[in-house]
Amino acid sequence: MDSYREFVNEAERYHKTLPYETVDLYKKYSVDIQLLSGEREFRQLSRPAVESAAFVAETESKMHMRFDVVVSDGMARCASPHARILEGDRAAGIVSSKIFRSSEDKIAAFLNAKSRYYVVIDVPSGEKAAVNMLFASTGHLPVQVIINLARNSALNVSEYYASNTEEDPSLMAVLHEINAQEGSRAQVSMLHNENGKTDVASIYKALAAQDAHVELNSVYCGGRYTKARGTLDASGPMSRMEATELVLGSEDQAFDINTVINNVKPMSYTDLRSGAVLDGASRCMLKGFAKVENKARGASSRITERGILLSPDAHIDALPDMAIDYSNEVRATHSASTSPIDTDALFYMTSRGLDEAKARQLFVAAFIAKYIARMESPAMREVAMSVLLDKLETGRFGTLNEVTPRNIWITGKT
Amino acid sequence: MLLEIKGLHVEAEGKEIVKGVSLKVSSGEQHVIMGPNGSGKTTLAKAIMGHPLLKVTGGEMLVDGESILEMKANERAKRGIFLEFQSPTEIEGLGIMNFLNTARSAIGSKGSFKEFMTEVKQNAESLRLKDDLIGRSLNYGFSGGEKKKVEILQMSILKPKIAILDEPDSGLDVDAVRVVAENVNKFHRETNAGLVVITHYSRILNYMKPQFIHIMHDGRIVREGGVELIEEIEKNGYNFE
Repeated sequence: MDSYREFVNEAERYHKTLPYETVDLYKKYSVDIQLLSGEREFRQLSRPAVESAAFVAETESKMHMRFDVVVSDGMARCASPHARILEGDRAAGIVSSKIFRSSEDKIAAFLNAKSRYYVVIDVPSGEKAAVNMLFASTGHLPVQVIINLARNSALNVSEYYASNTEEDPSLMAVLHEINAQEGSRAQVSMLHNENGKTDVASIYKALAAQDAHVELNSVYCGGRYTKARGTLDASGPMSRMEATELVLGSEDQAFDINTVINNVKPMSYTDLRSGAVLDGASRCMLKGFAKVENKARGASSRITERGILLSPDAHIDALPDMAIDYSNEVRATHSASTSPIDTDALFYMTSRGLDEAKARQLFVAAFIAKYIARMESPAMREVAMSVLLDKLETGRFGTLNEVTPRNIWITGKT
Repeated sequence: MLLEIKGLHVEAEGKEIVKGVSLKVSSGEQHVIMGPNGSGKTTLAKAIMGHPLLKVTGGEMLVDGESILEMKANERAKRGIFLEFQSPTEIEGLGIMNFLNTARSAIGSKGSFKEFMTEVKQNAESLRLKDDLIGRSLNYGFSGGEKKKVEILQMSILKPKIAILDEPDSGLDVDAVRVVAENVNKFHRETNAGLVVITHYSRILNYMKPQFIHIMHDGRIVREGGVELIEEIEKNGYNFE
C-alpha cells in the first residue's frame, strides 16, 4: 500500500512538472490544447452508477454485442476469465511491474496519478484469448489497460470508446501497456467515438520479445481534441511490431498522433501505417518516428502516412521521421502524401454513372476500408465500418446508430 | 441511338489536341479509330465521356439530336455512353462487386442482386478472369491484361448503347486479345450497341468486323474508309500527311 501511495505521489509530481512536448520539432506541430484541461480541478465525477449502466446497455444493444469487460464512471464489470479489473489502491500489486514510468511522459504521469480502474489481462503460456472491452464515459474516465502475454500465447482485444457526457470539457484518457513474451501474438484494436465535448488522451507502450508479434490498430473518429502517443519496441530478435492508425475528422476536431516504432534487436520488423481523412476545419498531425538501434542488424522499418482532404479548410501535417544507428544491412523507408481526391479517380467513377458526391463517398470509404481490414475481429470490423460510414454520410460523430453490416466494403488486407 | 460529333475542338492545359473531328456512330455499327501515338485519340474519347479537365473550344456533341456538351460524365453514362479506359484507375479498398453494383444502380439498371451476381459470374468466366479477382479491390495490383478484362466486364454488366474502347488490346498476349475480342463481339451481338474501337494495331481487328475505319493524325481525322484501310496501314504505316 505504501508503495502504491509513493507511486501515485511521484506521478502527481511528474504530471505537474513535465512539459507536454519534449521533442523540439513536435513543439511546433502539436495540438495547442491543454488536453487535460480539467487537471487543475480534475476530480472523479460521481455519476450515479445507474446512469452509466443505462448508457452501457444502450451501447451494447446498438452494437449487438455483449462486452467481456465494461468500464464506466462508477461501474465496472468483467466476465472474461483472462481479465480482471482493479480499482484504486487494489492496483498496488501491479505498480512495481509497470513498464510506463511517470518520469517519461506528462500524460503517463497524469494517468498513473489519476487512474481509477486498471484492466489487467494475463494470457498464460500456450493459451489463446479474445477480450471485447467497452469504455463508456458519462464524465471523466481515466483508465489503464495492462496486457501480459506469456510465451507462445495469443490474444485479440477489441475496444470501443464512447462518451455521452454533458461536462465540457470532459476527458477520456487511457494508457496501454503490452508486454509480449517470446513467441506470443497480440492484436489490440481501438475505436474512439467519443462525443464532441470529450477530449481524448491515448498513450501506449508495447514490448515484443523474441519472435513475438504485436499489432495495434487505432481508429480516431470522435472526441473534440485527441492527443495520442505510443511507443512500440521490437525489443527481441525477429520480433514484429505493427501499428495501423486511422483518423476521420470533421468540424473543428483536432488530432495529434505521435507514434514511435523502435527496432531494438537483429532481424526485427516494424511497420507504421497512418491515414487521415479530414473534412470541415479539422486538423491532424501524423508524427511517425522510426528508430533503428545499433544492434538491429537486418532490421526492417517502414512508415507510410497518407491523407485525404475533403475540405479547403482541413489541414494535415504529415511528419514521418527516422533515426538509424545501425546503417548496414537495414531496410528503412518512410513516405507521406496528402491530397484532395484524385481527379482521374473521380472521372473514372463518374464515367460509370455515379454522381460526384457518391463517387467521393465511395473513394473515401475505400480508403478507410483498407485500414479497417487490418482488424482480425469480424465484429469489430463491422462496428468500425458502420461508425465511420455513418460519420461520412451524416457528418455526425460521438453518437452510435444501430450497427448495420458494412463489411461489403472490405476487400482484404493491404 | 445516334452519337454525332461535329467539328469538335478540344484543349488540354491550354493546348489544342483535337482539331475539328466529326464522327457519327449509330447503334449496331462498329467503328475503328487508328492513328499514331499523340494523334489525339484518347483525348477525343475522354472528351466524349466528359473529362472535367478537358475544354471543348468548338463544335458539338449530340446524342439523338440532344447536346451533351454541358452534361457531366455520370449524366452521359446514364444516356448510354461508356468509355473503356486505356489506363484504368486503381482504387485500393473498393471492391469490384461493390463498385459495379453501385454503378448499375446509378444508371438505373433493373434486375435483382442475385441476377446481377449470376451475370457477373458468367461474364467473368467468359473473360477467363481468375476466380478471386472479382473479390479484390478495383484494378488494384492487377496486370495490364486483367485491367482490360475488368473493363470489358463492366461494359457487359452496364450495357451501354455506345461503347468507346480505348486500346482494349494494349498489353494483352495473343490469347487474351482473342478472349477480349470474343467478349466484345458477344456484347455487340446481344445489345446491338454502337462500338468505337481505338487501337494502334490491327491484331484485335482480325477477330472483329468493323465497317468504318477512321485514321487520326495531329488531332484530325485524315482518312476514312472501310476495312481496306487497315491493310494499307499494315503495309505503309501511318503515312497520311
